Amino acid sequence: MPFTMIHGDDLAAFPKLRDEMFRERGSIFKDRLGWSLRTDAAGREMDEYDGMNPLYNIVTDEAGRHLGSTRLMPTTGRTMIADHFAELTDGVPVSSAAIWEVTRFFVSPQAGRRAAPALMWAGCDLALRSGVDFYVGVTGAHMVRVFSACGWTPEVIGRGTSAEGEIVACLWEVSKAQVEALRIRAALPEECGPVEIFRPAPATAALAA
Amino acid sequence: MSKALDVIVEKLSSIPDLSGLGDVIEAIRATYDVDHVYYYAVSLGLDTPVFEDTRGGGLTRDQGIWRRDGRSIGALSYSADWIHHYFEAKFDLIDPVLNGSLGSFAPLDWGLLDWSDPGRRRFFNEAGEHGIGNQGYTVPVRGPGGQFAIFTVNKACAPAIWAKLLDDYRSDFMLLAHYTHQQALRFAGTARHDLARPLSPREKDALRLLAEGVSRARAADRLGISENTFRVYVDSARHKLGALNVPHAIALAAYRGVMTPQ
Repeated sequence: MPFTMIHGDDLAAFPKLRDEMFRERGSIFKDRLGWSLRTDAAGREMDEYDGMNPLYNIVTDEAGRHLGSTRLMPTTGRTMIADHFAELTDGVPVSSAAIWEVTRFFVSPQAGRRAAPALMWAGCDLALRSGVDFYVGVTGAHMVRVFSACGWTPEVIGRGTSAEGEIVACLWEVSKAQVEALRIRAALPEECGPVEIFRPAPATAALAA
Repeated sequence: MSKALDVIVEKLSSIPDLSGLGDVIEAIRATYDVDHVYYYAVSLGLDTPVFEDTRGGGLTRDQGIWRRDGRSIGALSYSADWIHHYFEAKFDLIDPVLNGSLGSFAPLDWGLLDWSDPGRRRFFNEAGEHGIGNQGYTVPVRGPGGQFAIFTVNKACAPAIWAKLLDDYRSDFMLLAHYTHQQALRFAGTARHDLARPLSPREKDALRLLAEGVSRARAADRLGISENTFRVYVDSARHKLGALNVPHAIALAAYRGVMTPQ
């Protein structure tokens, strides 16, 4: 299962994948789940956090078409949970170098059952390799069972209600054992990692002079 | 938090100004048994330069701290020869570690980079000749207003030794990168502490229990929350207070009188 990790600032190098991701985000979160989100004329759902150079963790099919993705941000900067959902954690804004935020987690309806655990595996493995101990994220309360079914049960650290219904603040613990469990759940081969982040580096022709 | 980290954080907390960073870098190098360590703040996030650039974009060193372009500062264990050569040869334009980190927040293991390009190959080889390790790990730190810094450790060693070192200490390097940057911002006068944002009742409760010597597990239990939630509260309080570890957070909170329940 092909994986891709791209920073927001580098998405321009992947226009097709970028548009598929944002369009599907719109159709899932706005059209299907009914969240009050804005989409552009092309149906792409993007918010201000997409402009803060997050990291997108994406799984695609063999042809490179988007199957599912998440958006990752450090909690030492601005986050959705601190900006919009601090009441879920008793007014405490989650902020730690050891915690990253995950938002906009979704898989396409046409993705197989492996897509969600595969996406979680890639995110968990990246966090482990980065010295990050937890992911935090706000999600609909019904999603906790979905995450558990994928093999990564979050700890609910806060509950509340929003216009979209019951919501929870979740903490996912990162560990070597968890990475391995997700790899097996997603039926990925042992030698499938690590997923490299796309990192453009300038050509060195300039130095020749 | 490892014991090694405790020692470094204590040292980092006790330095009086930027000139102490060099000692901290040396302590990190010795403690983690790596060849080199550097902290390089590409930008401290200011509209105006933090120091006078007397040499017009030149590289200067004062009390162990390198300064460049009036905006960047660095504390490095590298030789002065290599640092001068690096900028004279314009390696900063092609360095895949620096360029691959810019704007990011995800650490970068040098082994995963593409070194096949001839210029990059030359850079890698020359770095090796100057004692830079072939194995390296770089943690980018970004902050508001365009703040950006990188923290790097490297060592000349076999892949297996390097993998073991990272397995043991990745979390330490993540925290050290952030704490070193936090102190640099403080000394450069550009830290933005959230003094306007008071501690929430839960953060005060958590600190107060720790100050009373209650264990984390019992404190969490008393507050009716999990240990992980407790850790989140303590981390947030520490961050708001601008403290690098829990004892300092407690001391600062006590000093400012913000721990007492209202």
